[in-house]
Amino acid sequence: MIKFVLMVNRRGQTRLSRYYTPVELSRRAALEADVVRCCLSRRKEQCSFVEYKDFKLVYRQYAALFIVVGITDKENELSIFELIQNFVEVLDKYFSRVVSSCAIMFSLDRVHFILDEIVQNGLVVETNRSRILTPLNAIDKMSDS
Amino acid sequence: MALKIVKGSIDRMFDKNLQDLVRGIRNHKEDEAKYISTCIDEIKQELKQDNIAVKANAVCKLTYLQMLGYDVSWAAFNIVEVMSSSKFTYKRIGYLAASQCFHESTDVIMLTTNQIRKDLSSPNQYDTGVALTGLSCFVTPDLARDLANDIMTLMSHTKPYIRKKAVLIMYKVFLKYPESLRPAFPRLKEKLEDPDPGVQSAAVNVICELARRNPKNYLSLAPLFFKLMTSSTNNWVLIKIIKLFGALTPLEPRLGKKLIEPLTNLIHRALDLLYGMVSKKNLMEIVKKLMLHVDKAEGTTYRDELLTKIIDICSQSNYQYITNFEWYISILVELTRLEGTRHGHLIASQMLDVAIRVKAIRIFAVAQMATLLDNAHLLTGNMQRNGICEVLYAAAWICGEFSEHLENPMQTLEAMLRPKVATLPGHIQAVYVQNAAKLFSTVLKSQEGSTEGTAAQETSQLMIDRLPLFVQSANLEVQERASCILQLVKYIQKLQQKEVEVAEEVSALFAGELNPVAPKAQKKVPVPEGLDLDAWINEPPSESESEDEQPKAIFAKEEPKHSRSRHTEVDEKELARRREARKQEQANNPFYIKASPSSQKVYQESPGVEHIPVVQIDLTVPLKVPGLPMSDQYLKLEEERRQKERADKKKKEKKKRKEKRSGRGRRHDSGPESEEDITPAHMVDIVTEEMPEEYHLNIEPQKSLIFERSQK
Repeated sequence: MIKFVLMVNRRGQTRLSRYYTPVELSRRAALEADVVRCCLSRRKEQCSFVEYKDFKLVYRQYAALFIVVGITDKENELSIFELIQNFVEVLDKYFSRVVSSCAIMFSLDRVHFILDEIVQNGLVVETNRSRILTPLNAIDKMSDS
Repeated sequence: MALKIVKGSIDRMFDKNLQDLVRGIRNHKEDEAKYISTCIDEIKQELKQDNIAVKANAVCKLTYLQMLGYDVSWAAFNIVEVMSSSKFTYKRIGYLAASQCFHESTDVIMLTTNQIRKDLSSPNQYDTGVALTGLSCFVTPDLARDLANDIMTLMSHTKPYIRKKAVLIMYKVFLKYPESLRPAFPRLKEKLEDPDPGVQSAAVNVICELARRNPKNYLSLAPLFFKLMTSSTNNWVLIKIIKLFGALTPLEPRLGKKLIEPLTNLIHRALDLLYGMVSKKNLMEIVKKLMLHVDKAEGTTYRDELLTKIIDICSQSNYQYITNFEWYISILVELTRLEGTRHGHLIASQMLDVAIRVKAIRIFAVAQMATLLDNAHLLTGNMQRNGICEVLYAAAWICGEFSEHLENPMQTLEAMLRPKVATLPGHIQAVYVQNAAKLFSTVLKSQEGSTEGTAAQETSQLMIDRLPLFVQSANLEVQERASCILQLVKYIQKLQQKEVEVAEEVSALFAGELNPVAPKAQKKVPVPEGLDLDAWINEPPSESESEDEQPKAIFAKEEPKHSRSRHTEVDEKELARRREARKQEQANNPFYIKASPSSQKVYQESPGVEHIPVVQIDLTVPLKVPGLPMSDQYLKLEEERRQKERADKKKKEKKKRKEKRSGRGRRHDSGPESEEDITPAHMVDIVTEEMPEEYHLNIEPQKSLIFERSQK
């Protein structure tokens, strides 16, 4: 089960956060800072899976953006690793330009919707890129008209 | 009044939307907190307006601020308002904010129940979709109880998009309100066979999660999952199902047996991947992992598979990936400790291959083999052909051929001539005898050089004492070799008694190095002049004979096929008739001894054997052959060596960097070690195979070895 999804820039500022298990607001900031510190301090040769407290972190770096996913012990790390890549590819296709922290910040709600199509309740719903984007494109067309 | 409206709309023009907010925050890096508090005040003003668009905008901004860590629970009611908007985009923003901010103790959630219900039954599938998604984040037990029925009906919606989301949210609902599981379960089972793969995988997900908590209730679904596993190509689903089976199998042992087949297929596929994955760096680690598996594996066929795989990946491309041959030899020796393997000859051939072709490693290999021979009693338990005792074949040969590297040839010689050796299979004994002779020559050479004259004679006496045992062997080859060598030794002893130096001549018997010969070498030997291979050597046979011979010609491929097809045409009736005829004959023949059924039964039932209690030998402790190093040591050594290399390289790089400072000042990591950087521990001089002198080597040497004595 996925516990949370975070997108953080190199300075540690959260660009997107999505929690699938209830975490108090006050503790969120501390948790995010800690997790980010953990991931930023890893070297390039170290693997992308970290054991953190009682769950695992899977992270991936895309230029200046870190995407961190917290998962339970039982989940397969490699599959989540690929999931992150899938998510970024979907974002790429949707925004039709290189995804950067700015792009994410400015259309945060859209990114959330995309993420909701992929992960729900902490479980992976859909991994097929075109199927994820179809409802979104349809909604966009509806709202424009 | 009109002025107010105009003023209102002008104010609205200056409202910030989300993008402006973000830009503003980025521009106010120093006084961020102050800026944000001004923004929050503005948002509060906006929320007091009637205009729903304005409210939605404000809520959107609040979502962003909430992510930064600011508490926005005071705006809960407004969020609900936005959720109830009829325009889809605003509704979406409302639900998003709700999913981010609402939690169990938010009181306004109760107000949402009706709204959500309305949305769930909305004709617009996207309304429903967004409601479902949002709901999953803040569903409470009350909400779950109220909405369970609606969601259940949605599981059979016409659109797969909705079905998928409904299935997933049922899991959350179950968690919060467990009584809803019972009525919903049959529907959930149906979804496992839904035509849409998205819905199917969602259903698999949910059931897997449920089953993990309570496996017993879901055993009945096992056959269904089995079918799914074999038919599905979606890897996510496969992973989940296999995990589920992992939880179910302890409860249902038969399931475990049935799973073996597809799982072995998967494992085979994974093992095949290993071929491509192997590189110099990771070979040692991979093999170490595989060895662990081999230890743990219960089935002998699986172990054998692993063994062949290990050897295959190691010997790929002419040992391209092995950096440390000592480690490889120790791995091979560890593999010999395996029980009941059928691949002894494979290990043996590998050992021979490495020892011959890698000159640098010979000393080490010989030492290992000597220890193996000394401890041969541990390995002689397995009497089968191709059992582990094949390794002794290799060990004896290596010790004999490279006996100059042995530390204590006398000891090895004695080990080879022990009476217990006679229990080994014939071909191994033959090798032992031959190599005992080679060792004998080495021992003689070393002993005659020294001043002790009697030592050499004692060695000869030892040979004369022990060889007669082999002369009496049932195996022809052993007998022949033993008697030849025995006579030779007797002759040598006579010479020794006359104080003649024999050692030089004896070692001349085994002079010359054996090198591997390429298998195609024979073809490349040029036919010498004047030789016509097709000419008859004798008079050609008479015509009648040759006609008879043709049907029986061995080299024509069609003939066996004809005879085979002839056999298959014989039908069942013919067979039955023949059987009857045979039985009649046997009954009538007074001299035919029938196999009495009673004697067979006696053999099977022999009560004496069964009464003997069977003691389980605990073989979880691996057989430790004393004196042999564990291959783990090499792994650690290798790690240390590489780290040292890396440290040395980094020092050099730092010096270089200090000399040229680049403008950016970015941290430049030395990239991961490339393949070429790793210097092997031993300079491998792989002896390439021999070809006839006139021919240039442009063929790749192959694995199989053919030996031929060559004059050097």
